[in-house]
Amino acid sequence: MSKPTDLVQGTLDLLVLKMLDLRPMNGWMISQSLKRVSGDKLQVSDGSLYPALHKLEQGGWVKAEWRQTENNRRAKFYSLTRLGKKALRKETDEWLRLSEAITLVVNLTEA
Amino acid sequence: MSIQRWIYRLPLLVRSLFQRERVERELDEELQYHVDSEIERNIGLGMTEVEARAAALRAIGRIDLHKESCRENWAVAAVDRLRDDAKIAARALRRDGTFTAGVCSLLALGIGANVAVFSLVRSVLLEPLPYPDPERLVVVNEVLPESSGAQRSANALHYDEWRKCDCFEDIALAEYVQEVNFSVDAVPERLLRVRVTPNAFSVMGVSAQLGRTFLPEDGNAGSNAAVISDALWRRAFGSNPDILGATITLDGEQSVIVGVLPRGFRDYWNRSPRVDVYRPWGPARLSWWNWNNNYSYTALARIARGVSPEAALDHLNAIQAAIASEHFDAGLTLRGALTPLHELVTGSSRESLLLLLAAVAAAFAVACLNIANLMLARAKVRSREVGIRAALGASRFAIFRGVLVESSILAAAGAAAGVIIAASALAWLRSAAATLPRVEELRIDMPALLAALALTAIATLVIGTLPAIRMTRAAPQESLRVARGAVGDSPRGARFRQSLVVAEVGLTVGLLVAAGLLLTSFVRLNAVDRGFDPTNVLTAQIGLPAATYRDNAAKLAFYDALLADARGRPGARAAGVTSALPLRGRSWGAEAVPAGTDPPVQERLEVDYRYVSAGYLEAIGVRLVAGRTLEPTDMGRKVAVLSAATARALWPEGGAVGRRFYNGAPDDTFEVVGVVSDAYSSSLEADPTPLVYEPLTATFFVFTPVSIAIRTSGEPLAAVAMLRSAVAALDPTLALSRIETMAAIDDAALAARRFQMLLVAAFAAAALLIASLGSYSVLAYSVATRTQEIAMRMALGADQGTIVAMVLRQGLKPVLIGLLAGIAAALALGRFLAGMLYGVEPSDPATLLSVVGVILISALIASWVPAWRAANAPPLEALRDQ
Repeated sequence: MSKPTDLVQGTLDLLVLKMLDLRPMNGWMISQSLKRVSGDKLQVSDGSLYPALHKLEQGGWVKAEWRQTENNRRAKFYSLTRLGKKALRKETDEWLRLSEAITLVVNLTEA
Repeated sequence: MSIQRWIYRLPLLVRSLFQRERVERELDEELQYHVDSEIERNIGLGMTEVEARAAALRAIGRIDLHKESCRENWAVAAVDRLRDDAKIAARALRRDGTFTAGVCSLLALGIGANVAVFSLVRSVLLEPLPYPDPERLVVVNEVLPESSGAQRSANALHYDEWRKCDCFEDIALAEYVQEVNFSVDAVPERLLRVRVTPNAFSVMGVSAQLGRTFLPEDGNAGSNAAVISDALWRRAFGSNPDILGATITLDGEQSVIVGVLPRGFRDYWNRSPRVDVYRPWGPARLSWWNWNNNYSYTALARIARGVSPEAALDHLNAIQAAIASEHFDAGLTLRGALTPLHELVTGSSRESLLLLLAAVAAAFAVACLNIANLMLARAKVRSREVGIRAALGASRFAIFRGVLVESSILAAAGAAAGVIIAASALAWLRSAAATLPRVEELRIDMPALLAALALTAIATLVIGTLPAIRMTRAAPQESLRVARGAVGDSPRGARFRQSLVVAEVGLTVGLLVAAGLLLTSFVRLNAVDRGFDPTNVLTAQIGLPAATYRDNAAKLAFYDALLADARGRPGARAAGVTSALPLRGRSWGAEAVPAGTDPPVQERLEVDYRYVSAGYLEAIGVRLVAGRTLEPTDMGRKVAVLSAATARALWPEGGAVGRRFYNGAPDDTFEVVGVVSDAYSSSLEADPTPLVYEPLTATFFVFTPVSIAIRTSGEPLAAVAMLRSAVAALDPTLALSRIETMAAIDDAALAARRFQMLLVAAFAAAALLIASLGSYSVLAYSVATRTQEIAMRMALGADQGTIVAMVLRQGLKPVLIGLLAGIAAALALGRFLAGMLYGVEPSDPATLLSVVGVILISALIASWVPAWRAANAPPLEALRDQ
């Protein structure tokens, strides 16, 4: 059953890229925002977020930077690179096309 | 796109490679921050601290697992896996210390020798000459088809015609290189000076590092400009930057230094190891120049851009034909020849170097095959370890990678040591191979290192891939089930290992045949009768400056006084001077015609003239065949001594003594007073040049510089001080040069051959040793795995002789196949060697038989030990061992 996991993995990348497109965030902030925005519908385990972030960083889509937080601690903030912005546009288009197509198919009624 | 990605990625890779701790710490910190923030949020939601912590940890899940997945995403992961492999491989290699050391040193020697020979071949054959567009530089020679047909140097009158051809961008002419007297701090010294047309440097494309080279007006009579080499500038003038305008006195003639040549400049066309001083030369016509004579100048041409060498030669031949029809006797023709400068420099060393390259590559191949064999044996022994790894889940690829990493560690260690060996080998080659052109430019450079890298890759593949394939093919269950060492080699494996031995032996046979043929040639050449006796003869050159020794009488008086002094010293048995020593090359070629005959030019005998003093023929030790040698009273008389070849050619019926011959004018005849043995004047490999010895007074000017030869009763070099003091007593401003014993000159004539033969022999010996060890180890291993079978046979009644015969048969089989294949290959490829052999055919039966003998004897020795051991193993113990 490897296919569904891949799908989730790819989707997670898209979600993370989208979050970071809004503003630079650290890992915890991303997880909080994801939960808030999706209304807990998307079950993203806190731990699996980090391998995804590291993968995006190695791929050159996001870059990381250590910054002070409001409570005066050091945290690793991620932001999109130019590559990341391009990838986000492409992934978003693809996602929209795909979901549109799937929506069409699942709504199909016998003519 | 991917480049853009690497801009982000590379710093991360570098960081995770070199700042591993920091990267790990940051990963911890990042996750810790998450947990802490979650705890804070939970507390904010009203949980107790303990509850908050528990909830946070639950939410994040297994931190170690997440960390591991993060690490796997790092670019460094692949490096990590290799590092692990390397660690395992290093451990395994350390455990087998002897094996590792043996393989590494074998590879180091192999790679070192290959890199050294490669560098040699490259700098001699491949490296372009250090001039701009060197491929357009050619030396122009002349060919007289009706005479010997051999190429001759240029005639200065023809040179004027050639300059009119627009097939040449420009063309320069040089005189022969001359030794001149010069003194630094009152110590007299001999310099090499050549006079060139002012355009010589622009033809070469070289400009001065200081000052200028020659201007066209330097070609006018009376120019006193001189251009000196960088070496002379440093040595004699202390690199003085204000040297321009300074006066340099050569042979009493003053010139003004106008330029210093660049440091790396080398003169490749004047056929001299070095040139210290250049002087301009306007080819003002000399009265004695003749349209069909005096082929004694060197012409260097730069072919015009866009003109092919063939087209240039066609143009040249058209000019030559015009010269011949206008100025030559009827029926005589003239042609030209263009030799690329690079070819002139490389000359005959090409074949010999390619042979060396082939020999060293073959020896390296033998070494690699042998190491592959050892690795295979080792792989077999380690099959249990591999089985366990496979059973624990290691993929085939992981095992394959492991073996390759191991072999690349071996190869890299070997290559590192090999480069060091190559560097010292090159230092040795610079002196040992001094007869090779351009050898002084040898060094370990980028291409040499690249060659080392390529050899490392080849070695890794050869020694690693074969065992790796075998290892990954091993079935884990099988290797785990049977006890260590109890399993015999599979028939397929044994056959494969034997075929490696066949290849090793085949290559070794080829090398031995080449070495044997070269050795035979060398021995034959060494035994050639030189026609003179080189032992206990000291030679040196001395030149008398025209400013002090103005006429022939002054020069003769000096030579007489010097020789009289030398002969009077204890230990000197004979002494004389000559215009040219034996084995120093040909010079002063001209015709010799029996008096009273007038044959056409093309039928006249061409001989080399030697102008000598009395006592010279005795000093050099030629044997008297008939008549007498030259005596002091012969000076001023028209007499000559002929070499046997000359006498035979002029008067085939014999009786040369008392007859007369002429050179040029038919009424100007010389009487033959004696005939002596043929002394070789250049190569020992060609027939000796016909010689005529005439008194120093026979030419219109008495020769200088001349070579002095002194036959001593003891060590000739001990007479150097005596000779120096004799010269100093007569004229303290004169210096001796080229002080050498005749034995050393004789030795130098064979040096190139000796060098080539010794190297090929060394490679062949190394290959023989390696191949013997290879066939020994294959057999020993096979015997070791068959101890029980053999014990069983003996227990069932086989006697020791049967066992020995069985093992010997097994050991000798691949050797015999390799031997046959090698001999067949040697016979087929022998013709490539033919040009390098002297007095022996490539298929020389004696050489081939000796090689067969050597191979068989070493194979017997290599097989006897395992056979004897097999036959003497106590059968009971072997059986009980199960």
